[in-house]
Amino acid sequence: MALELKSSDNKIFEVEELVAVQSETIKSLVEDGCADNVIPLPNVDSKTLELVLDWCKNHVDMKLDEEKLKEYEDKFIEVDQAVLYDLLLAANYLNIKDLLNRACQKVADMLKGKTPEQIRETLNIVNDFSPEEEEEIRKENLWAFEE
Amino acid sequence: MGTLLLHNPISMAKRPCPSQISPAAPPPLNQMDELLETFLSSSSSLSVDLSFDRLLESRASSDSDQAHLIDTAVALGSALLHAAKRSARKRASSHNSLYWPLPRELTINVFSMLDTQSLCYAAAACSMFNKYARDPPCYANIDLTTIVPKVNNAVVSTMIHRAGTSLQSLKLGIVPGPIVSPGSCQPLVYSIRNSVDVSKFSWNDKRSRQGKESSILTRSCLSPLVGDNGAPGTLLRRLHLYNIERMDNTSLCGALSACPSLLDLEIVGLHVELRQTLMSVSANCHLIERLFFESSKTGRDDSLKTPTCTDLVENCPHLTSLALRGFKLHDNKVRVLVKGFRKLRYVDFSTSYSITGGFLRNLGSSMGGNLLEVLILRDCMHLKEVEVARLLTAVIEGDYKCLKHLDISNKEGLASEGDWYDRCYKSSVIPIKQVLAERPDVCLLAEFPTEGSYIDIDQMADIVQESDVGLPSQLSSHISDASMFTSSSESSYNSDQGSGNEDGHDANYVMYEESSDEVEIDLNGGFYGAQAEVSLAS
Repeated sequence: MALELKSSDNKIFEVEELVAVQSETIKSLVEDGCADNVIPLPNVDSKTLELVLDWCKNHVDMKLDEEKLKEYEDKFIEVDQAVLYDLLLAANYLNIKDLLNRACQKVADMLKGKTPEQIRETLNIVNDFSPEEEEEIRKENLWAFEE
Repeated sequence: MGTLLLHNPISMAKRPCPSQISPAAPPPLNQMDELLETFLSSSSSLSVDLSFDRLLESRASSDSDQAHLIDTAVALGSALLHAAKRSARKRASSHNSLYWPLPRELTINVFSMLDTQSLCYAAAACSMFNKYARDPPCYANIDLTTIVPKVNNAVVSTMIHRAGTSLQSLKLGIVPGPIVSPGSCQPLVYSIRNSVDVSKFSWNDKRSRQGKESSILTRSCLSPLVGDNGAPGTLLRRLHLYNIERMDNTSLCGALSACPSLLDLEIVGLHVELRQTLMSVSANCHLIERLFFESSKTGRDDSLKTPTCTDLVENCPHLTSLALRGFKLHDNKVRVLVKGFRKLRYVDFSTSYSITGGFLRNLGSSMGGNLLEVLILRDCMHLKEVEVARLLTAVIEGDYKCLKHLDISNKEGLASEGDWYDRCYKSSVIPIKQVLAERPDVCLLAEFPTEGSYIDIDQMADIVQESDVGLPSQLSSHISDASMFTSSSESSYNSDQGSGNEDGHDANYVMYEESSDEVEIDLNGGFYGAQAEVSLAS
C-alpha cells in the first residue's frame, strides 16, 4: 500500500505505508482514514523529507540487524548543523521517536565538554549577560567553573 | 537611572559647586534627543577627546568649574555607555532567539542529554539557555561523574533538588577517562585499578592539604534521595556510583532502601561488601534489570553466600544483565544466580577469583542458560581448561542457543586440572576451531599469552570477522610477552591468599566470615578437593 506525501516545496514522495507509519503523525492519519489523498507536510522541505524517508525505510529493512542499523544511524547523523536541526524539527513534527532521539543526542554531543564561549561559537549565539549577571551565574554553579 | 542622569546632571557632581555656576534647567526630552543624535553622528572618539581637553582648558581659571566638568563627563559618559551596553545585550538576546532553531521543549530535551557540567556551561552561554536550563527535565539524568574530585555533597543535593519530579538517573563519582559502554569489559577493569591508585594518591594529598576537603563526596552524599513521602529516590531508575572513597555499607544500603523503582545499578570501586549490597537490592529493588558490580578489593571480597543468591533470584526476577567483577565467587553460588534468573541474558564475571567454570555444567539447555546471549569470563584466575572445554563442547552441540558472545580470554592462561599454579596456554582439549565452524553466530574471544598461544593475532582478526559480532568486542592488546608472566603470575597468585587482613584504611569495611561455615553442594568431589588445596596453600 503506497502513500503520497507532499513536502513544503510541493514535491511528491511515494512511499510504502509500512515505511511512512514510522511517523506517528502519519500513522494517526492513516488510522483515521485521512490518508487517501496526498498528505501535505507544510513543515518539511523536500531535502529533509527525503532524508527522513531514507531513515524510515532503512529502519524497516534492517529491523532485525542491530549492528548494521547502528552503523547506518551513525553515518546518517553525520550532517551539517543546519541539516541536523532540520532533521530534528522534522522528526518532531512527524513524531518519529528514534530519529528525534538520535538527532537530539547528536546536538548534545556537539555541546559536551565545551566551555560557554565554545558553545556560543559552535551554535552562533551571542553573550547577552551583563558582568553582574555573569558573576551570578558563576556563583550558582561554582564547582563547574572552578579549576 | 539613565533618565535621571540626563535630567539632573548637576546632582551627580561630586563636589558641590559654589554660587558661581547656576544650575541650568535640564533640556526638554526632544531637545536631548536632537543633541544626542548630533553628538553621536558627528563625533569620533578622537574628536570628543580633543574637544573635552579644549573645554577644560577654557575653564582653567576656575578649579571648581573644571572639577564639575570632569564629574559631569564621567556621569554622562557612564550613562551613555550603560545605555548602549544594555541595548547591545537586548540585540544579542533578539539575535539568539531568532537564530536558535529549536523551540524550548526540544532544547530542554537536548539539555537533558548533557552531563551536568556541560549543562551548567550551556546555561552560562546566554540568557535564553539560562532560562531553559532552569526547567526540571534538564536535570532528569544527572551526571556528576568527573575525572578529578570537584563535586561535593552540596552539589549533588542541589542537582537532585533542581530535578524535582523529573529525576530519573544519577551518576556520581570519579571515573578516570570517559565512561565506556557496558558492552566492553576491558577498560573498566583496568580503570578501576588505575582509579584505586588515583584515589589513594589524592587521599594522601588531601591529608596534607587540610581544608581542601570541600571537594569530596562523603558517605552521606546520597541522603537527598532518602526522605519521607515523595522522596527523590522513589523516582530513580538508574544509579551509577564510581570510586566514592567514603561510601560505606550503611549509607549505600540506606540509599538503596529509598529507590524501589531502580532498574539499573552500577557500583564500581566502592568499599562496600557484596553480600550486604545484594541483600539490600534483594530487599528493596524488585524491579532491577541490570546489576553491575566491580569490587574495590580485587578478589578479597568473599562475602557472597548461597542464601543471598537465592534471595536475590527470588526477589528480583526481572534481572537481565549481571556483572560481578573482581570478587571471590564460588561455583555453587554463581550457579544459583545463573540458573535462577529466568530472564538473564548478559553475564560478566571477569577477574573473578575461585570460580572454575564448574557452574556452567549442564546449564546450556536448561532454564538458566537458554536465554544467555553474552558470557564473559575474562581473566578468571581459577577458570579451568577442562571446564572451558566442556562449555565449548556444549556450545558446539547446540546448547546456549541464544549465545552471541563468549569471552574466555586470560592473560595468564587457563588453570590446569590438578594444580591451578600450572597454567595452560596451549590446549589440545579446547575445540576453538570447531566452535567457529559449528556456531558461526557466536563471537568467541580466546586471547592467551603469546608464547604457546594457539590463537595468534591474525587468527584473532579472522575470528572476529567471521562471526556475527553481537557486541562491540574490544580486541585488547594484552597478548604480552610470556616472559613477563613468570614474574607477574607469582604476584597475582599471591594476591588471592589475602583474606581481608590488608590495610583497613576504610574503618567501616566489615570482615566477612569464612565460607567453611556453609554446607556446600558437591558437584564433583575432585574439584572441591582442588579448591581446598588452594586456600590452604599460603
